[in-house]
Amino acid sequence: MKRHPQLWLLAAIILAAVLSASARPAGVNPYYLGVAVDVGINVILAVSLNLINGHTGQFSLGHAGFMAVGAYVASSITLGLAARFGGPALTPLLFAGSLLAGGLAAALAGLAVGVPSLRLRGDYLAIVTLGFGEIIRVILQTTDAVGAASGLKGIPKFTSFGWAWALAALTVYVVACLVNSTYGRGFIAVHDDEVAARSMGINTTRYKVTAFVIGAFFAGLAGGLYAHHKQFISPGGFDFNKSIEIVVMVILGGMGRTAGVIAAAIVLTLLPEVLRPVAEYRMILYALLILGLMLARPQGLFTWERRTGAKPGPQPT
Amino acid sequence: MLVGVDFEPGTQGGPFPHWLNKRANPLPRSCPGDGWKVFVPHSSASARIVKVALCILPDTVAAHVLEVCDLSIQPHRAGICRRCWPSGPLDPLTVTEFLQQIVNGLALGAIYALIALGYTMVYGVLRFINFAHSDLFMLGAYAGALIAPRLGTLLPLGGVANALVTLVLAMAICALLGVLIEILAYRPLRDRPRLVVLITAIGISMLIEQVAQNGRLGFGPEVRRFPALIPDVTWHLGGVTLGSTSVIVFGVTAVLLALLTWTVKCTRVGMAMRAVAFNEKAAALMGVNVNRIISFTFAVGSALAAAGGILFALNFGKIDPLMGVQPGLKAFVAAVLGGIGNLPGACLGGIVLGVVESVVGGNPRLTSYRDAVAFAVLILILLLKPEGLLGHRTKEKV
Repeated sequence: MKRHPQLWLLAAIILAAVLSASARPAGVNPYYLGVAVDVGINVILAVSLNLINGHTGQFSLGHAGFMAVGAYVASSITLGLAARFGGPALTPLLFAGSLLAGGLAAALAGLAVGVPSLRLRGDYLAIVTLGFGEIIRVILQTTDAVGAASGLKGIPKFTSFGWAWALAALTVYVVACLVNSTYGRGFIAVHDDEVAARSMGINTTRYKVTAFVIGAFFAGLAGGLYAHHKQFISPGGFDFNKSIEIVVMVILGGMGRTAGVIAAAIVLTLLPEVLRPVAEYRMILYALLILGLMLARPQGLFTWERRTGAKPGPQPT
Repeated sequence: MLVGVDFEPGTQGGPFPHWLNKRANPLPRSCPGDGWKVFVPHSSASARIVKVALCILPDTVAAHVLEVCDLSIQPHRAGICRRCWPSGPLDPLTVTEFLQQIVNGLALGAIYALIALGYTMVYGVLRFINFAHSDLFMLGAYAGALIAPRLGTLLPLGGVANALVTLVLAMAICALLGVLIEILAYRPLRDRPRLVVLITAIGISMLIEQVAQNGRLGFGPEVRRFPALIPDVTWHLGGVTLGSTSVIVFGVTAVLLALLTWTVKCTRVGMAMRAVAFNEKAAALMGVNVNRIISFTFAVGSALAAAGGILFALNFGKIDPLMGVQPGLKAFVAAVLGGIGNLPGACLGGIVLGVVESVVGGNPRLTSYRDAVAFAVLILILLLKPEGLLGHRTKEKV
């Protein structure tokens, strides 16, 4: 995995292309297809948060806020332009453009969060990012141009299986390549020991902000996909609990382990669907799962060996 | 559209104003041009009814009505739809309105202070954010709501004595729950990284919220009325309205703060608490039973949260399983604002936050940003003075 992310990307894209091509006929149950798109979106979210929380060792609880920015910007653009340039030939172009704009807007938001938070760490950072997420939600809730509390309706359904999985593969590829590059070693250095990293000449501030911006960009992409998949978004859907959901994926997969995080994202997307028969107790089981995991396997469900050189202990206080 | 509200009890066949009776007089789903101007008489009893009625209304309708707890401040504007508010420069508050907001803010701030103390104490001894604290606040309010009606039949005491017994019982229940959570969830993780403990706290919080929302296991997701524990009396001091609930909030908070200060400063267990907060290992070497002190800290913090929950419910007249989330987050902000780990700081932070929030929220153009104020304050304080108002800067050791 670490040595050849390109190969994995290739495999994933081929798989996505093959499956999306074969899934286009109406033979496939649309429910399964919808769940598969959810999986792709959650993989993007979890892998992008993993860059911030896992590889760089920061603790962001505001990922849903970035997702919201992306979702709102992308769907506003599509809603504004779809009527004017409604041709089927232009649809993919329009969708790609709006997703990109959503991602860039979220990246800007990430910059806005990253710059003031760089002097904080640990739970202070967690609470500040949580605060930023809440501020984004309150602003959306009071902006009449995007439907205020009742949200945006009637977003065209552009997100397909192929879009979601191809972008998920792209996210995995970019994050994996970035972290495994010479430059990306800096993220891991910041994670392992910030003071030591700084004394080795690593610009820790810059690395943290970079992680936030890139993570937010992909969260914005995922938000755009999500909006064009569910066709309805409201500020309530991007609250604290959504952020927690993504954080749990990262923890379950093992912080900083891309493969584990992908697996966790898949499992945690499918789990609520499997638990549908006991829907009433679904969230209770989910909470118990988190607790059991933290008490029994805090290093992540899919982690068996420790990464060499990584410090297992607590961050310096 | 103008809606007159007739609050004479007994008329219109119920305690609710007729326009809130959806079947008899359905309101339009969309807001009419000039919003609903709801005239309410100057009495906190009627305000209470509107508050309860509004939480029953569907969100789409309620969103168009200004928060009614503010109606004693602007009797002629209360209830004008936020979206239909004429655009223009911010309306400055008059002096009376400003004073009224200060009074409201102090009451709110006192509640924040009570919750913030729990956060700050736990942070002091264990160095992590106890996310479940806000749920103990909620459980305290529910305990109060469940105890109060039963108590009336059991103990033929006066209204105020009943209220006091309810308060004390709810505090005791939450203290027990807090200790239970500490022993079951946090104690096994004492030596693990803080992040693991933080996630566990979030998990506990989720568990309590979900169980509480579950109709069969807990209380159910619906909003409930909180019983009026004390007679509703309103005093007018030169245009500023002071309700009996606010007075009770101030009184209870002051007594609890005095008790807490005395415990921490003048008793052996308080000294042990300070010792553990200062240096856990050294305290243990000096013969302090660290585990017992940490449990005691959780008990005290949870009891304060329960008191805060009851006062909050008394002030707003309704409870629901997620009522703790926003006050909890804001109280944490208050704790950071005052300097986390610092008890007087938590009180100061709570009061400052409550007043700032009320003054901003009292302005009709800004009222919808009310919930964002606390977080804006948080980000500002962390940028300008990260150690908090009363905190001390600690040198980072390598």
